[in-house]
Amino acid sequence: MRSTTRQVDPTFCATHVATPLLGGGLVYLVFRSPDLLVFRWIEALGGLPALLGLRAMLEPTSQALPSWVLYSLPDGLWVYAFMSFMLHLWRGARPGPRRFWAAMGPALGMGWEAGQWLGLTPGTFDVMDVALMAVMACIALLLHGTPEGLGSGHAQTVEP
Amino acid sequence: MSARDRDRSRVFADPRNAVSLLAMGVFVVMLVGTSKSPSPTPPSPGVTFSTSGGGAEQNAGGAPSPSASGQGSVGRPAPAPPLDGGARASDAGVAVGRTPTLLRGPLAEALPIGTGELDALRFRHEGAAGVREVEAQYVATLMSRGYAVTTRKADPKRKEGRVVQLSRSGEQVVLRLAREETAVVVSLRLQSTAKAD
Repeated sequence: MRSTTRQVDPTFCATHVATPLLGGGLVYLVFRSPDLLVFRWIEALGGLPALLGLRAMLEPTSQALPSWVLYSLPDGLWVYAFMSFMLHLWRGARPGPRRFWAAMGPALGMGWEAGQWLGLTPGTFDVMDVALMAVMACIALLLHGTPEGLGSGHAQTVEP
Repeated sequence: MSARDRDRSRVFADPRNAVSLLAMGVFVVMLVGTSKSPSPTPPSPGVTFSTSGGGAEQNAGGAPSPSASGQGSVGRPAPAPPLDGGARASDAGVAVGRTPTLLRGPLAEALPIGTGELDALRFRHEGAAGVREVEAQYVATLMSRGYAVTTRKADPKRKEGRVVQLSRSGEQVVLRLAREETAVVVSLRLQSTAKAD
């Protein structure tokens, strides 16, 4: 069976997975409220002083950032990263599994938002969050959904 | 075993499933981690706030005792630099309360403008329904104190941000409201417009 690791291109992952993940994470850690659970985790790991230093250094730039960048873009970037990774990982595979795993990113992200709307998950529902997730999912699909297409009939990657 | 069954078992045996499951788990952890942390202590039923301005920390307007917590829902000192939302850390006062009781404290009394004792207040309304509702309460209270709205507009830099400017003779109040996670944060900047002489 073909190795999974051979199928993953590090350059692709750095560009389309790690960068958006780090970008979204940075917005949360630097500009968002320290009430977030992740700050407790970082505190438990002993990284809070360094993070606070970073926040102090970068805080003035938050004035220049629009609301949608601070509040909605991070989740959109994460959806993009997840979907890009899945489309890349499952490229050339049969359409079914590739569609399934690629759809999990927007499904989880938007499902989380829907849970907030229904009061089932913590946080505040914002239609802008959903819109940006949808936009970023579409971008991932456009960039990485082809040519080993989601819609094409047959493709064979996993070989015995 | 049919060809279809062989195909299916081959898909399930694909190691990419494990990688995908792992990635999904990471994604879920990220979603959970960026949720608001649970409060170890319930929010205060009234409004408590700490103030500083003109060099003196004080308890303004007969409000409950000053609190240095600043992070009501967390119940511990702010690890900030400044929080997001309309109000910055330079806004001196920080309050925690629920919407129905938000107008106790300093707003129930005359705002101490021009005294040199207080220049800003910051309130955090945990669980408030909406920015507009909180705004309406503040504006109504201030108007009942003789203030008139001079400017009222959206603040596009903040989530659901609003800026309201009110004034009366010799005094001006700038309200900045914004959604911050599950709370509405209100900062009041108090300015004297009276001439120095």
